[in-house]
Amino acid sequence: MGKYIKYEIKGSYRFVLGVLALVLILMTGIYLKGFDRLGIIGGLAGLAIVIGYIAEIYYIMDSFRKELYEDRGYLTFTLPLSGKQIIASKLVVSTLWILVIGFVTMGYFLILFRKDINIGQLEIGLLEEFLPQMIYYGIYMLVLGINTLILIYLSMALGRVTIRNKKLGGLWFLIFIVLSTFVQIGYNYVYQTFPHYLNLSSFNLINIDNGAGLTISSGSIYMNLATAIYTILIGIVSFFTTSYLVENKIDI
Amino acid sequence: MEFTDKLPIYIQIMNYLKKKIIAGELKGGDKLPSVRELSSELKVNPNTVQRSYQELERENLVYTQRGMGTFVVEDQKILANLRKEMAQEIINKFIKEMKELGFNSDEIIDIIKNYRTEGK
Amino acid sequence: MEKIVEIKGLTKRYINTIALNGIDLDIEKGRVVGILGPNGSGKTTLIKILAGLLRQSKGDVRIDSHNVGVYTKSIVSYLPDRNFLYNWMSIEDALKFYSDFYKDFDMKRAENLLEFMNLDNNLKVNQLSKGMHEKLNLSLVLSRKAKLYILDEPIAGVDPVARDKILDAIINNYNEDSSMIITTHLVRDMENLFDEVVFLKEGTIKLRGEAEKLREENGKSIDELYKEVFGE
Repeated sequence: MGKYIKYEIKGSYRFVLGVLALVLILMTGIYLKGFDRLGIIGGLAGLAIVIGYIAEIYYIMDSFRKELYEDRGYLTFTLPLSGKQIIASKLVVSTLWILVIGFVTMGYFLILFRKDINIGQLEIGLLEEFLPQMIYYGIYMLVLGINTLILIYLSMALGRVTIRNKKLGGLWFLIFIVLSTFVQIGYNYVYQTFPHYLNLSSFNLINIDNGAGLTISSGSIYMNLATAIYTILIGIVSFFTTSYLVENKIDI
Repeated sequence: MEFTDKLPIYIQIMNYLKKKIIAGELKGGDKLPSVRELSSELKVNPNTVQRSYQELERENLVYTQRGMGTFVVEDQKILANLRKEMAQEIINKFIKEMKELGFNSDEIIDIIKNYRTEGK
Repeated sequence: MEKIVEIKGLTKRYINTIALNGIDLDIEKGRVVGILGPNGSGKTTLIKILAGLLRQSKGDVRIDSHNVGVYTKSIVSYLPDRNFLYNWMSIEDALKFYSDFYKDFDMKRAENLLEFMNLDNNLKVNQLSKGMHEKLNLSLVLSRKAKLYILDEPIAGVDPVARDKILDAIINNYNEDSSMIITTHLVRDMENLFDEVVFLKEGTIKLRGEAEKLREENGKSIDELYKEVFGE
């Protein structure tokens, strides 16, 4: 499987790093034009990042779609790899790129506009205190992101299994909406039934009437246990279902 | 080499090789091309060439030495017989066809004589 | 004789059509079998099921006594009727790719074949003409020491010079431990390669037998027999 990851990277790095480079150049241009002032200029730079991100995400999703609908599927699906290996490899590489893009663009943004961010003594202290929360939030976002991606893959696989016709390839989006809705319904049920939150610093359990998976209350960060388990379960089930479909049910 | 539809390929290959033997292109003791070489040259399935070689061996025209290849027999009597046999086959065919055209034996002999005196 | 492929009652149904209807077919080790028929006869469907790209609706398909899956994909070398290499690859990349995923891949043989086909390793896949694609794909596929080779229309749409090279490569690839299944509608060019032929018409086997025997019994070439069976 590591070999397939290698080739997934080989196939995508040119586009991903290319767009990344463009975004960085764009940000630099905006910065130079705007005389290092936050506000509108920063907003534009932020926009560049967002657009770049969207392009990358689209590219990543599209690469799986191509696998299902274009000639390259003839190569991928005759390799001696299980469905799980193929899907897992794609997830790993997608996650890798999401992380790379995220860190590089955010990092560069901070470097460019550091003068406006005024890191003083107070801020560094605050930063240290909030670092764990930021990390938790980061992980939380990442898990949500990966889950969304798996759900998209599942939708695409379902679309491919049910309709032979390539023209209805956009069908996956409808399926995705339907699946997401059901996932959300399940989520609401779970958090309403199990409003138990875990304080991630002190590991106490309290009850909060809140729908968020992760929330901050009086300086501490709390995670809803039940929804956390639910989210992970959804991810696992989606992964295994997609792998099963890809190995046993799709007709290329 | 052009293959016709009328005969199985392996027989056509046999005939092709027999002609070479008779014409002296393949002499007694010479090594035939390997199955692979010949199949590649003629663009046929190697199993077909293999079968030809086996049949030729059965007719005592060639012999196989394991690991070395297939060789034309050196027995001159056998080769002479082959020559006679093939000639006879061709002549029989010729006469049959001429007779089908309506020529009788004397006419056929005349035609051959004329052919000969015309120095061809 | 050992059977490398055992197919029983194979049926493939789509919403509106039946592509394969109750196919029974066994293939022995070391044999070269031609699956002949016009477009739409089900040849490609049969091949894709063996390759693992399609699932049968009914019936058993066993390759080397296994159901179609990860193991069979490792012993089956498949040549599809399209350009299936990833667009970003160069020929060199493709070689490394095959070498990475297939233990039975013979790099030396691949390099020799590519040389024979006059293909330069540095060429990019998206720069190749159709004929060059065909030659490249075939070189990769034949460089594996697979138990079963499945070639789907290996010379269709290819110029005569490339075609000869391809036929040569196929012939030189014969060995008694592997079997080959070749589909084609260009019967005349390929019929001398086959040990056995299978005539597929509208999803069923119309005729089957040893090539030489069929020629002998019918006093015709396989090509002529084909025209008779599918005659227009």
